[in-house]
Amino acid sequence: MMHYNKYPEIKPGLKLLKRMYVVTMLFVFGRAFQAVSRVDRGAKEVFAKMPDDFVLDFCVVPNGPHMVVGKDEKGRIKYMGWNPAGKKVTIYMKIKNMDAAFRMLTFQESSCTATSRDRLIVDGDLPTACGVLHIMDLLEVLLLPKFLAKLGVKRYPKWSQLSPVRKWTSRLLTYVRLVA
Amino acid sequence: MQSPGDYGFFYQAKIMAGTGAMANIPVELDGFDARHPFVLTDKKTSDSGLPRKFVKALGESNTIIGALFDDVPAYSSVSLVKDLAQFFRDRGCDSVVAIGSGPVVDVAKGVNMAVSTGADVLGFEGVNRVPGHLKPLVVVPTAAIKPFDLTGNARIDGRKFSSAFLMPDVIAVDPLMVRGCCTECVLDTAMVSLSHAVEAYLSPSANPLSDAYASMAIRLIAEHLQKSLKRPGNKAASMGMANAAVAAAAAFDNQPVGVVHALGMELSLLTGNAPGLCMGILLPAALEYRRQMKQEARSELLMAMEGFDAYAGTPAGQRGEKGLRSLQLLFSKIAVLPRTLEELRVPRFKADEAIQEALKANPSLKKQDLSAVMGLAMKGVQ
Amino acid sequence: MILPEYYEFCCRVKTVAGHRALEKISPELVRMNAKKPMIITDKGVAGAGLIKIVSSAISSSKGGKTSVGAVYDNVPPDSDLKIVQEVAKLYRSKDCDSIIAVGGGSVLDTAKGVNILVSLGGDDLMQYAGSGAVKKKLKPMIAVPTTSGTGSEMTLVAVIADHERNVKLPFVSYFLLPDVAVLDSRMTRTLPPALTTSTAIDALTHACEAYTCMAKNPVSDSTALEAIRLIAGNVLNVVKKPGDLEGRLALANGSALAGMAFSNSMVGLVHMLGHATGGACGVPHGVCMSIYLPYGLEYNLHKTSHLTAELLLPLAGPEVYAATPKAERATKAIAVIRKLNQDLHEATQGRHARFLKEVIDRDGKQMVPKDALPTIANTAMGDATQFYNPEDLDFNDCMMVLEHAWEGIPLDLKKVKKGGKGIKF
Repeated sequence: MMHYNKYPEIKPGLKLLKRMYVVTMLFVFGRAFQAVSRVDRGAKEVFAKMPDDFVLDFCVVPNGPHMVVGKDEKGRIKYMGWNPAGKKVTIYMKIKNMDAAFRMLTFQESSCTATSRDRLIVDGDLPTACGVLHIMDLLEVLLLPKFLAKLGVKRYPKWSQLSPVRKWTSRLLTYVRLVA
Repeated sequence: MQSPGDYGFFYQAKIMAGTGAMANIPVELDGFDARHPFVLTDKKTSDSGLPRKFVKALGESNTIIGALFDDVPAYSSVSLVKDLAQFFRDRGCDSVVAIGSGPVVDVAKGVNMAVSTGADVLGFEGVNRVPGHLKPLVVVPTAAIKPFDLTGNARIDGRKFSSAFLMPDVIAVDPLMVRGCCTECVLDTAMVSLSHAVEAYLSPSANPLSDAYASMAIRLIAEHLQKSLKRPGNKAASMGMANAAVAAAAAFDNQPVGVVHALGMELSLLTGNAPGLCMGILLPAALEYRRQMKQEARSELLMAMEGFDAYAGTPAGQRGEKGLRSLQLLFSKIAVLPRTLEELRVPRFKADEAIQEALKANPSLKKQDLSAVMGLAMKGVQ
Repeated sequence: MILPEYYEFCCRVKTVAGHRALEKISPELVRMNAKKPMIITDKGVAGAGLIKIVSSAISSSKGGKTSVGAVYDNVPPDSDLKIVQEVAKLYRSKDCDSIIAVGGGSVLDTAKGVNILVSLGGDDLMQYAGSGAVKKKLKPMIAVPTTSGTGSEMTLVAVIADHERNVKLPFVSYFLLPDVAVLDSRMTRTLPPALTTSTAIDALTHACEAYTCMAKNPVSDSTALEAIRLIAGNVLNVVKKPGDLEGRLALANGSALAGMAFSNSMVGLVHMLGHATGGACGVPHGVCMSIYLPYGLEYNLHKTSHLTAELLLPLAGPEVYAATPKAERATKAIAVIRKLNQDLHEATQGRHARFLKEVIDRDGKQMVPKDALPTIANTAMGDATQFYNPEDLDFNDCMMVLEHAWEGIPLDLKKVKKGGKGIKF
């Protein structure tokens, strides 16, 4: 007979530090989504193409955290907090685990690298998901210093694509709205 | 242009290889509606702290490990499989995870047969006797992983089980787990992988799919073996060797057993030498035998060994020969590899016994081939 | 061999190939404990007499353990929920226990939907839509492709339309994959030349993109190279000699290998524009692929020239590869593909289109007028394959590529905006 007690059931633990970091970053990202949608021309164009009932749940499976962003009745992009319960989510972007989320949000893996390494599961309308990833790239360019952002995007925009005027206005205004 | 003939090919395992592979296991299990794995490993692996890394990687998930049984012995027995199956049921598990190689994976497959069918595993001995799909099986290889473990074969109590349903569903090759511990261990795995890949590649029934995997395995070994032997703990080299083992498994599982594998396994069982050592001596002998028999080597072997430029730069008629030479050069560079079975102190009667056993297990092989290769291996090539 | 930091590869489909592969269907069914399969196909396939071949191969097998339970041969090119429910009803009424899908994408998608219903019960497909909602082994399913191109027998996605609500429902799960893909030369023997070329180049594109895009991995690399060798070496011969069964089988093999490669490593720019062109102008997928393939490789040259250079070996053979200086191999590979398109154009009396402006429909009408290009570019921006492309594309970049592809002139490489080397793959 086997000594069952020698081999107890194991519930894998939590990764508290990583979780705290991811929670914070998702909060910042959510607010930044809202901010950039109000101030940047390019972002406005991308959001305008999304359906009116757009509600995104960007989360880590299976236990969160979540970032819920969507359009309100007036069609404006709004950060809707960390709790998807009771909201009509139209598109899910799920990161497969906490380690992957941490790697992504510490910019060790850019969004396109993460995608090609299968770290993300998209459930919902694909063109909308593309838009979300475009916004994330834009946020990286706007919020991060150039040397960091260059590691995260395939092509750091040149003057002709993103004029310094637009870049710096959008950057400043996004920051202001983020903090305020 | 030569067309691929009739063939079948099947390798169902999902390969997840690289940083963070283990952390993805809960999502994969969830895809099978499983959240309660029964985890198996052995003392040696357990002492090296690897299972702890596995548990840690599963953090923040909903997966609950029903039990982490870390006492799988070096010789697996049917009675242990029965006991573990009961344990599995008592803990209400729904999937099996094997961390390690050899007996650990064999026992995992045995337990899976027992718990999925509810029947005695002895009834499934032989070829294609497993009646249907089993519960999800995840294998987390360590450095000692052999291609055999990643196929639809298992060996329990000296009995052989062979069925496509025994193949792992997921293989998570994680750099945290596959770093080699010593040169011997690296060499053992490498020689087994290489033998399987080369035999599958040179097999008369090779097909485009087995070729894809076999050439990948050969290429990875040619690129990473030296580094891996010199620095067994090197991450890139370890990953190269582990990936080679997976690829060799896919090729091996879809081709008939070759001379080197058949003789190598029996010799290893009879003499207690690592299978890799036996195959590392037998493979050059088998290549030499091919040459003596004037069997053309495939020209693509050169491409797998040395890459595109060397292949294209060699005149068409010389590619096969040069590929073989390249392979033999690879062997001659391995300082730690014995050259002859005599060096391994394999007595003649054991060698003859191995030939008999190999013939019994694989009736399709020819006795004269086995004897000739064994003869060459006893004295060594050159 | 490039070993990425992380990759996944999975092919749960058993491949059975050969000139008499159909005869293996019966033993495969027996292996999976099934004996009464239902055949699902479309009018075209049935009209070409292919179902007869399949049925007789199943019933003539030794032991007579299997027999066809029902045949549904009316799957339309734009299949939907209703068809799926109808077929499922037939399956149940005839007490079948397995599915054989004979045909291309639409048939396969329908069969996958039917399999969900008959395995999991009920009539409501909706609850299984989305990613990973099917979590159980379904009934045994065998796919018999009748073109050598789509590779859809190797993909885990099914798209089924709901015409009443005007939406397309995606279903993604490993359990949707067929258990076995049967590649038999008899199934593609009567494929007309223009379809043969476009589907073959479709497969070639899968393989080339799999080898040069961001999610490439050692297994997809190996399968992709083998696929390119088989397709590039055989397609022209098969078009000239349609009855060449050896060549047909090689193409079918190449297509399956390419399907394995791209369903795991994903694809880039060529598919991004191809999907959009199909969506906006209704151009068949294979046609788009053969037009855009050289442009996709050109656009990414500054990031992937070392990979494109390696494609020259399977495309043109070792002699050409060795004779071409290292620095010129990438451009040579692209030139070889252009030459292949040109040769196929001539061999099919102009039915194989080389440029966008050459694409015509059945009535001889131009399918892609130049003023449709902005619509295509806009649609392309919403296509997920762009993330697997090594270089970024915005609307203007798409337009630039489209204009070149429309006229049929090689890309002006100076116009490609080059990003840094920040992203490694």
